[in-house]
Amino acid sequence: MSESNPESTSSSTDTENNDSDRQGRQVAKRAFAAEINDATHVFKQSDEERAPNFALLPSGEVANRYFLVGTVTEVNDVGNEDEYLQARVVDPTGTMFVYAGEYQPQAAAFLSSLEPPAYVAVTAKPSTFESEGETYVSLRPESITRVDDETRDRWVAETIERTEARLDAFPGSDSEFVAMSRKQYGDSLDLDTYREAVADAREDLGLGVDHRSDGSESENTVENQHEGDDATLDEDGAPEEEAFDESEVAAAVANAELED
Amino acid sequence: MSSNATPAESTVTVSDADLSEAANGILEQFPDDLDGDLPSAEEVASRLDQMTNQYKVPLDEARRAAVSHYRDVFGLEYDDLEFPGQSAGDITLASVDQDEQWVDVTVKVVELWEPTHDSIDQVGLIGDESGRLKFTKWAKAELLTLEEGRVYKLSNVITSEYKGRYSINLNSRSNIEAVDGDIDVGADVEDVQLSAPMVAIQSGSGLIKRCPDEDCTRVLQNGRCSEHGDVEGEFDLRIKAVFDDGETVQYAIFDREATEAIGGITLEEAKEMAMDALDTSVVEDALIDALVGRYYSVEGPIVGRYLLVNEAEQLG
Repeated sequence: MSESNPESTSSSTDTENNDSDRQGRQVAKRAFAAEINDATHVFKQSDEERAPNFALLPSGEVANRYFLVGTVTEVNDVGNEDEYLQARVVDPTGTMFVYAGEYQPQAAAFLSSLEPPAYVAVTAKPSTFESEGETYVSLRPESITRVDDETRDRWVAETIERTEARLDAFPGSDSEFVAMSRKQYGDSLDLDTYREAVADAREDLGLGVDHRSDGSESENTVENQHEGDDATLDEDGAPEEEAFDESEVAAAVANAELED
Repeated sequence: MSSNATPAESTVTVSDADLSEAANGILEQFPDDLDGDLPSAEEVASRLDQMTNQYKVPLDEARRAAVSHYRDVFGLEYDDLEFPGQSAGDITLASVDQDEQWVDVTVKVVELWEPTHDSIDQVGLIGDESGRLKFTKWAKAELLTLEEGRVYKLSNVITSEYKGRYSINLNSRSNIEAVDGDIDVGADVEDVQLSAPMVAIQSGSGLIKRCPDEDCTRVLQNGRCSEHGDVEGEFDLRIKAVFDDGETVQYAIFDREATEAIGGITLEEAKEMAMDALDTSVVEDALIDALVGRYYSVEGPIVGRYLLVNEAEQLG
């Protein structure tokens, strides 16, 4: 009698939703820009045509989607003929690039009327593109909404926690994704980078800064954001090295706090 | 409810014998004291013949359509039909996996909720050792009042399915019998509390229309109820939300009350908003803008894959 269940067909217009509903929706992972932009290895776990894509996070996890909150600093139309909007979304560790075109009407409409700077929450799928021999990560938004600073801080705190948990588990882990990260990112894999990113994020929230003596935290935060921008374009660029010592101290402080 | 026609049979020619058996089966479901004459078995069979052999409709579907047609003709509710030998017998709640199956269950009333509609006498959660399910007892069934914490044998109750989650309906064909003793109710459904951002609002949220049939209340698709066809729908508000803490995904449903509370919009305001825009989807869009991306603490029972939101609060 129930061949035509109304509810089971209701989402059939949205095939992606329908598909993921049946298989169980993929979790939205939390990661900072510094790590998201390094997660350049994107792969499928099965040969099926509609199998989901996963980005391999260097800290040994995979992400089919991200949930992130950051500041939109700039929106540009980078399309040739059709509108294709690129939003720069900044978190305490760097800049992510969110792209919205005709297939993301909600996000495109939102971005085209947004006046930066503004805090936004984004649910997005990762993908990559190549340019001049480099692989870059781009994010395709499923939803993007304006949020307040409290939501943003909550996300930063949550993402610190999730990132630290992955980093802490990495050394002794027998997870296949940790192994995959070692293999895939090999020589360029430097987890300290993400410890530094976490330290930057803690500093941004005003956590652990009172252990420091130079009193230039807020200035550094702004600087680091800019440096993060550069780092996404040039992974081996100088900015990270400049910030290294300071961030290492902050990371040590952060770790010490964790152990308490 | 059961069918002796397999899809394979029904896509090829349906024999006269099968048609006539199906026609008699349909007629048996209609009470004898109708206003007006029942069609003859031949008439019903010819109707089925047209649908199956001419229009290639499976016999099961043709039977369903015929029942629905004659129900309309005689102005009968689904409830008024008779189903001889209908109940699948004693089952456990966890084994419920079919829509519209007549069953008997022995359960404890775990929790009674506030009915949201006059047509509902009692609504809540029942449980046995195997699990818990939502139940709805319709007012016009005029059944014994259930008490929280007591054990009952509920016979001739009918299952219903909504987005993969099952519930139990008690209607006028059902029986309630109080039973001595206690049941250690399975712990698979508890009120849970979670803190997570809402990462999506699914389509079918906002201002929706439901079938006005009090036993149905299905959400209409393009003004149509899949059971009752074109109907004058009744407006309702709901949110089908996805919460995601980075480790697990939890689907949640905000009913009208919960939607009004969290969305800061009343049903009346939502209707005005849709009227101004000549489009109901503006309400869903407004809820997305207002709610998605923020962190919440939500609380409620988990039924099937949904958390039914009782309490929700945005985390600042």
